[in-house]
Amino acid sequence: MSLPTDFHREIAERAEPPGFDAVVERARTARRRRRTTVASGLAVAVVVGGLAFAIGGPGDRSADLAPPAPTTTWDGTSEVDPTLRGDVRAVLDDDRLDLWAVAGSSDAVAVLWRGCDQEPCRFAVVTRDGDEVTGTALGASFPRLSAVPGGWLVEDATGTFRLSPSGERTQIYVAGTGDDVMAGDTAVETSGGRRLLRGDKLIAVPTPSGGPATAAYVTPDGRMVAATQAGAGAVLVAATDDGRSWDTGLSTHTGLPVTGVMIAGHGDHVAVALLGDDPDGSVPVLEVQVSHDAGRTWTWARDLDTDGGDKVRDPSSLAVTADGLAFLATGSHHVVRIDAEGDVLPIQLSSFDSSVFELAGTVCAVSERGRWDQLSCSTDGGTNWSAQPLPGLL
Amino acid sequence: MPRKSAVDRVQEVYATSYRRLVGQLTGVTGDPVEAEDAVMEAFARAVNARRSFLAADNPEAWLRTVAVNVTRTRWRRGRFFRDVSHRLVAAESYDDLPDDRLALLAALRQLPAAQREAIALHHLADLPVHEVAEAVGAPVGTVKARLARGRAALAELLADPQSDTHPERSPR
Repeated sequence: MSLPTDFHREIAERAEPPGFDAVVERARTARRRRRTTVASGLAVAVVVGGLAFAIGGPGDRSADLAPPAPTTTWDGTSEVDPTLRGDVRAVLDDDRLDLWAVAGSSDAVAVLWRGCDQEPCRFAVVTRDGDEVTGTALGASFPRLSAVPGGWLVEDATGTFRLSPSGERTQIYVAGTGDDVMAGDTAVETSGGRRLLRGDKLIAVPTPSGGPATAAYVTPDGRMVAATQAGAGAVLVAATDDGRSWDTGLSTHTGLPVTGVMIAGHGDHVAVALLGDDPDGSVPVLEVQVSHDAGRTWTWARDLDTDGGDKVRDPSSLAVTADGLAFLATGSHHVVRIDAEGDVLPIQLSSFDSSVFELAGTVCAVSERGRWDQLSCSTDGGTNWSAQPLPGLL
Repeated sequence: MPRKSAVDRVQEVYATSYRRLVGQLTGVTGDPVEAEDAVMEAFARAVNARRSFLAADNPEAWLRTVAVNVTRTRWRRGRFFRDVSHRLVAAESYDDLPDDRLALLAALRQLPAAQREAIALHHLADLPVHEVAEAVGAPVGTVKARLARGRAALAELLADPQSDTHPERSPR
C-alpha cells in the first residue's frame, strides 16, 4: 500500500482562509462566553433529572443542592474564585485548563487542576467545605490526589502529605513493608503503587500471592478486598480479615484477558470492575460484581453490555454509596448505576460525564458545561441531580 | 519601528500557515471542513493565549498541537461532526477531490483516533516521527507502533471492497 505524500498539499490548495477578522471574532466570542452571565432560567435547568428521564419521567427538578455546595445559590455561571491565592488563580485562569482529579472526603470536595498555557504545566488543588474554599499550588509534573479520612492524600514534588479541608498539611511517611490490615486502614494509590494509609504512614498492601496489589478497599472493620495480577491476562480478587488468610477468590464470568481492576467501597458494600485492553486503545469493562457483605458473597451485573459495538468502555472512576449503589463513570455510557441486585442503568448528565465519587451520602460526577465543567450531585441514588460549580469556581 | 502586537504575530502566522495546517489536519479529522474548523479554533486560542503562543519556539507546531487537541476533544465528546455537518454540503472547495482521495478519507475515518493521527501526520502531512510525537503528545516508540498498526489496518480497509470506504458513503 502506498499513501499519497502530496495529499496535504492538494487539500491546502483548496483551503480558502477566511479573513483574519473571523479568527479575532471567534477569540472574542470565546472570551465573552467565559464571562457571560447566563440567563437566570438556566439555573433551574441545571437541576438535571438524569435518571428520571431514563426511567420515563422528568422527576423532581427542585431537588436541594447536595451537601458540599456553598450555602449561597449558584446562578449557573462560572468564574474563577477571586478569593483564592494568586498562584492558584493563575492556574485556573489558563485557557488550557484540565480537571486532573477530583475526590470527596467526608462532606468536603477537592479538585486537582492542571493549567498548561505555559510549559511545564502547573497544578493547584482547591478544596471546598461548605463555604470555606482553600487553594494550594503544587509543584510536581503529575501530582496525585486520593480521598482519605480527614482530607486527601496528596503527592507532589515536595513529598506526600495529608491535606485537610482547611488547607493544613500533615507529613506522611513511607514505612515500606506491611503484612497485615486493620480497622482504620485506607487503601490509596500512590506513585509507588497501592498502599495502606495507617495513621501517618504508608505501608504495603498484603496480597494472596505476595505480589503488588492493583486495587484494594478496606472496610471500616478492617476487612480488605484486594486484587493482584495472577499471570498474563488474569487477576485474583480476594478478601481477608487480617492480611494473612484469604477467602476463596472472586469467581469471574468473563473469558477475556483481564488487564486491570477497579475496586471501590463504602462500609461493607464493595464493587469490583474487571477491565480489558482492546486493540484500538480503548479499555473495555469486562465485568462488574458487587458485594454487600464485605466481599463474602458477590452479585454479578449480568446486564452490563460487555460485548459488541456498544459495550461499556473507558471507565474513569468507580464509587459506591452508603446504600450500596455502585456508580461507574465511563467514556461510552456516561454514568452507569449498578444496584444491589446487579441491575444496570446508564445515566446521562451531559455530553460527557466523568469522575464519579461518593460524598457524605451523595453521589457526584463531573459533567460537561461550557468553558468549565460542573459538579452534578444526587442525594437520592441518581434519580435527581443538582449542579454546582467545581471548587475554585464561583 | 513600532513593536508588533501579539495579535499581529498571530495574523502573520495565519497568513503563512493556515492552508498548510488544514492540509495536515485533514488526515487527522478525516474531513477537510472539520480540519478547517479545528485550525480556526487553534488560531482563536492563540489570540487568547498570547503569552503561550509568543513563547513557543515553533508557532506552527504550537498551533498544530492545539488543533489536534481540539479534534480529540470533539471526538471524545461526541461532537465531531455535529458542529460542522450542516456545512459539509456547501464545502464546494473539496468537491473535486479525486475519488481515491475521498476513499482514503473515508478509510481514515474508520481507524482508531490514535492511529489516524499518526498516519495522517507522518504519511500524509510528511512530518518526521519526532514532530508527530510532539504534536500528539506521545513517545516516539508509541507513535511508531501506531504507525505500524495503522498502516496494516488502512491497507486492509482500502483493499476490501466491502469496507465502508466508498466516497459517497461517508459515515457521517
